[in-house]
Amino acid sequence: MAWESRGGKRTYYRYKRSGDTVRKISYGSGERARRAAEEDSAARARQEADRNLLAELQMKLTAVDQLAADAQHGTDLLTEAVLLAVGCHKHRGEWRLRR
Amino acid sequence: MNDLEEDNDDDVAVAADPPPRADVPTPDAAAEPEEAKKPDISPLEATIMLARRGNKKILPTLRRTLEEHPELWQHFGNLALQAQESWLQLIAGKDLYLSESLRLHLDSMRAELAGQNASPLDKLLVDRILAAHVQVLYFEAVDTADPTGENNRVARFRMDRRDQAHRQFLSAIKMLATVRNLVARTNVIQVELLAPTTFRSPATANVSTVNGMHSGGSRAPVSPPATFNGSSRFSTRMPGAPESLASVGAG
Repeated sequence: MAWESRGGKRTYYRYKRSGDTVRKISYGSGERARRAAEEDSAARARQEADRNLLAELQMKLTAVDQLAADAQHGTDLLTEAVLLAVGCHKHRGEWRLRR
Repeated sequence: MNDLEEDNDDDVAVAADPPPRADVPTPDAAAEPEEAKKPDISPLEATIMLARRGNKKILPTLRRTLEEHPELWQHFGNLALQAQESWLQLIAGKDLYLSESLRLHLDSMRAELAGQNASPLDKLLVDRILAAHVQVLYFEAVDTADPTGENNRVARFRMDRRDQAHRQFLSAIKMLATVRNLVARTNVIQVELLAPTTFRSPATANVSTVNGMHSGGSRAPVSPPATFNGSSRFSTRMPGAPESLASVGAG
């Protein structure tokens, strides 16, 4: 998506991939080109906002995720220890009593 | 809360810093001492790895490790509570009414799931269920507050996380059910985190349930329950333990 100057005239292009080939579509230099450029610019802004929002959300969750993961790791560890201690074993991911 | 912020700064100060609950260490407050007394779990992990391979001789060591390191239960119990508290803070923000309502809801769930006389393992597993439950609540609340389309990458991320939290919730419930089922069937071990004042001495240990056999019926004959030194806050009581604790599983 870009404005390109051809023979002193600015033309707006979009690139569309279909399979292995990339098609370059011209939108001319008039109203249609301006509208396409605005749409693309708005879409880019939305994507950027989404990226920022996602990064912010991930950052907010990082600390609590780490805490939860540590707690879960410890719980799993102690559960496994107790089950092994009482004579259970894991068979194909499932805990069973040893006979 | 926004009204409070605009109207009265004093109220904001109170609302923004809710008094920490006595039983739940806040992440900030607990970070320092928790870091300092963080237990070394690698010996336990090493023992578990050997036990996983079917090494029965390691089982007494494993039991002794569980018995002699009550700080493991304490540490991971605190971590689970801190995780719950952090999720609660994320959900409720400055809304004290919401956070207190959620705490009451969690307390009621905890009481219902753990019941009375829950072992430390039961408590840990219940806390794991609750942490996953709060996580599900958080992502549901965020989705409700901002119902953007599913094509939005933020919405997709939240949806994935909500599904993941839900899977963790179900897996935690399953684990609690499995542990209760298996430990009840073995009738061999009960791990209790006892305060020093309530330590169950050998004299008070319940021997009436000892019937000479495991609940499984066809296992080895048993002797009176093995008990441990009273100096430990942590007691691994085995009502129907065959011979001594140290010899269980060794043969």
